Amino acid sequence: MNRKELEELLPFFANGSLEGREREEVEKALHDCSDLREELDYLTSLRREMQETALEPGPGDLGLKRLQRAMADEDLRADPITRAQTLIAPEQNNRLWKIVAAAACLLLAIQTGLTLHMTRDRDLVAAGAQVVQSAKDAAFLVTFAPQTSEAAIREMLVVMNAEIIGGPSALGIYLVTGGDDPAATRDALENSSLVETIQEAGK
Amino acid sequence: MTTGAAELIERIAARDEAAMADFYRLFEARLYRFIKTKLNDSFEADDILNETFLEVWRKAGMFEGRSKVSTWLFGIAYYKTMDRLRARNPLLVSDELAPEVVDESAQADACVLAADDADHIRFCLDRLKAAHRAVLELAFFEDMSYGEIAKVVNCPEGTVKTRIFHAKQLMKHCLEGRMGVRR
Repeated sequence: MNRKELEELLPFFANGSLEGREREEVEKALHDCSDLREELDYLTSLRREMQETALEPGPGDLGLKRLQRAMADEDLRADPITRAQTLIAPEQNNRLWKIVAAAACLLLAIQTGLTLHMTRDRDLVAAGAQVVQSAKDAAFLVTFAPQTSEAAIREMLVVMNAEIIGGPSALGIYLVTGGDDPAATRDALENSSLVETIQEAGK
Repeated sequence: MTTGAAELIERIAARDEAAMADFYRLFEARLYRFIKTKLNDSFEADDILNETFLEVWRKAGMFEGRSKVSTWLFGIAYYKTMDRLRARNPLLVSDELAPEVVDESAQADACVLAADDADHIRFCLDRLKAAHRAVLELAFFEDMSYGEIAKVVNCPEGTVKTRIFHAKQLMKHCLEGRMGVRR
């Protein structure tokens, strides 16, 4: 090992990182050469004084906060699902999902109830005026005499405990149902001077 | 410290934010000095420091433990710092063979103001090229071996030895000029 090679290794002898055969060769050369020892003294002194120079304070906790924000942004970009979830605070997130689920269930229950209520006791009139009726009620297609007032018809139906549930069609036909006894209702309608024609619906 | 740093890296790889905070506190001051002395700009040094730690957060899972954690970390910082310097002034970084020029008039003025040896050392360090300064700082601040420094600055070990040899000579010349023949 020549002088230049030895000098190139001296900084690493000074900082204690030189090992093995190279360290042994430098130690031997130091033992034999005063110039090299002087060079080592200079490097040792330089290293010590460099380490004693005050550290300029870095960004500290502010830098850490900045880093943590950048890390969070990084993770959100990498995982859009997490991004969507974390747009809402975790405690809000859980509560909101529960509220939305409960509201959806309630809405479904109300809608089902309304639908059942509307279809259970009422007959439906299809677009072609064909009657779809419940099994327990009889219904009649009725036309009233000309000049019959609405008040007179209403008074008659109230007495019979009947009601108009459809019509009038283009031909002036009403769909009437009700009464405790369908046969009696039919008779009453047939015998009324207000009724012009009557026919059992579906026949 | 090295074992602690390696354990922290494992936890960081598992996305442990608390480990990342510990890792930041462990290296922040030393890494900031390493970056700042080359850029000589606090804001830019803050940026590079942040980018370096963010890179650790991204790549901790890829760290294979073939080198010390500090070698890996300073390597990231060195690359980013030199990249920034290159963008600022390519000649400052690429002109490896150009000798450092000491401004004698500035030296004389600063000498009057210098309060102690630390000021002289800082003054002379500031006059070194970034590449020379980096190897000297890694050797004397971080006590790295030439093999570790070669990994940090990504160059052959022979180049590291040559750079530190020149850096040492330039420091000696500068300090002798400012402080007489004490060295």
